[in-house]
Amino acid sequence: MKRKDADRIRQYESSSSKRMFRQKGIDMEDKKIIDLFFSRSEQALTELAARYGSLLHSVAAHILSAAEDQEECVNDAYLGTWNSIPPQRPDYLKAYVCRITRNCALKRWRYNSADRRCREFETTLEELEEFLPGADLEQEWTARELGRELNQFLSELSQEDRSLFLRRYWFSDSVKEIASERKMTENAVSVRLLRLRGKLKKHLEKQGFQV
Amino acid sequence: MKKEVIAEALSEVQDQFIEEAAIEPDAARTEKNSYSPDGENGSEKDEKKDRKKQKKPIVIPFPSGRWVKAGIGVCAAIVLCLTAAAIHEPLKRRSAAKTDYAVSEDMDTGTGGYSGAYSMKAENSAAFEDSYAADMDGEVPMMEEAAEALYDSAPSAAQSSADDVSYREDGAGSPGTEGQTESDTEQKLVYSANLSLQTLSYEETAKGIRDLVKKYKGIIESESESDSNWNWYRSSDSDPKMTLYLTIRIPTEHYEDFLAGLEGSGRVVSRNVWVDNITRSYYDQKAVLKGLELQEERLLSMMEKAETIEDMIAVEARLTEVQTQLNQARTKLSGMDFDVAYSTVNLSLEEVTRYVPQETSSSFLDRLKETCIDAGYTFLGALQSLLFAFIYLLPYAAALLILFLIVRFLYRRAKARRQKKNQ
Repeated sequence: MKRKDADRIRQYESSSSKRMFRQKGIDMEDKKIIDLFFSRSEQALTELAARYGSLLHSVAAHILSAAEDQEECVNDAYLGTWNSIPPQRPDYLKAYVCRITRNCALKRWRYNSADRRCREFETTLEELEEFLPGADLEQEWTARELGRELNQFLSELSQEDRSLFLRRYWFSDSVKEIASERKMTENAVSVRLLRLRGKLKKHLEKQGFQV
Repeated sequence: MKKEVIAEALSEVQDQFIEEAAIEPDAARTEKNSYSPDGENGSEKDEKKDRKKQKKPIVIPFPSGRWVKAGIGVCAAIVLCLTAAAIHEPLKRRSAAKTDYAVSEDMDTGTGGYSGAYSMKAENSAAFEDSYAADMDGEVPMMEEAAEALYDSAPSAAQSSADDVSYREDGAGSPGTEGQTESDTEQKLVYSANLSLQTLSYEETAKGIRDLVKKYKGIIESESESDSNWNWYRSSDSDPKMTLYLTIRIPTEHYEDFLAGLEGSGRVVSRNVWVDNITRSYYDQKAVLKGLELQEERLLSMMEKAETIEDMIAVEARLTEVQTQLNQARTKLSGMDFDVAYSTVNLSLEEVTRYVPQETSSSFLDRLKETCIDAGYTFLGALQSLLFAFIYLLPYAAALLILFLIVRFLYRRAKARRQKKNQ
């Protein structure tokens, strides 16, 4: 094996290089799966489950604590993907299905009682609740505006920080999971998240949001 | 309500950001089936190709832990210091051999000369040796024997010149040059030297010096030895370790040979040679002695002629005084004779681990070269000292590390319990 290849493989474990490594292979695979959806082949769902099933389960598991809710949520996500592709042709299939899964999980989460809600997800929302503005005027408008500012904020961050923020607050990974994945101490992860929340608060204040 | 708003806001995050952040859980990584347009699985060959493409990355088994890296760094530092110490010793010895050889060469060509008075000795050496041989029968005695011989010969010497010394009856007895005869014009010279030597091999050099003293039938009058090896850390290589101080009395006829032998055995740091001319005081003392002896004779004859007890007592008292002074004069004179017969060499020998380079040339390149060499030796010495300091502190560091690990373990356990309690 050439040294260049060996070096690239050695860097496989780091998240940033893993993304770079994936870019070249995943696009083709995702395209093939989307083509299967467009050709209405059931193979598409099989391929999707094989490729992203575990990821979707983990997204659901971080929001819903009950196993049957998670299973139902993931199945709803498959159905939602089948129904939406076509006509939609997403650029990022993984993010697309993750978003569908998360939305399904959130719907269930709203109607679930406290004992069926995942504690970790509640914790992440509480962390952000301290820094984000309170409910104001029309709820839907505020969430959309907040989402837009959030995207603006995330685009200004480095890739590392952005990934950390989303792993914690979008995927609801625990601090321990993030620390073990990134070979950092839990304290270091907590401190970085605290700084990112502070940065978010300053960003929102600059944009006129009342914190 | 507020949490729902936040959750909905997070749903607005762009796909590409989520794509970047999404990582599949490790447990769920499975082999992907190959793709075919008609929905059927691919052939075995295609499956093998896909497996080859998707084969697991090679993980090079290099330890990545922080403590392991720190340990490797420490081991590398120790190896470096040991290597430096191993190189240091042979280099010093090679340099010492060159320096000793150079010093010997200088001595052979006679460039290490003495100070001015030596020329006087050279001129008188022939006459001196003759008279000395006549006094001492041509042999070199040891210290006590020499003193006795000189003391015994003192009266005969005094007697031989008794007729030539004019004695005043008033007892003043002032010696002067008018009392000296032609045989008393020989010079009385006392030779002395202070010599400091450095050596890399202390035991050999000390033994060599003692052998040299024996060879020239000298005497070690006093000896003092000290050891500073208890100080494990020395600030520079030229600091002495073993030090030896000797006071040597060497027969004057072998004086120059002895000094030449000494200077060849080590590196001369300092040399001080001088000659005391005690001729005048010697003959003054001799004249005093003669005068006292005459007084004694007279008093003894007066004692025989004394008739009354009072006279006898008076004479006896005076005789006792004269005899006391006579003994003192004889002792002083014999001491002077010994000093003349045996020259004094005060020697200090220091053991060093490296000779300090001497500035033999004022050329810039030479000085630059010597500075670079000296800097190299100093650096190696510093590495060596660092290694010793590390070894010295190692037990304490180990104890502190164990204590730190225990405290950290207890803290983490308490923290985990607290977190479980909160959940």
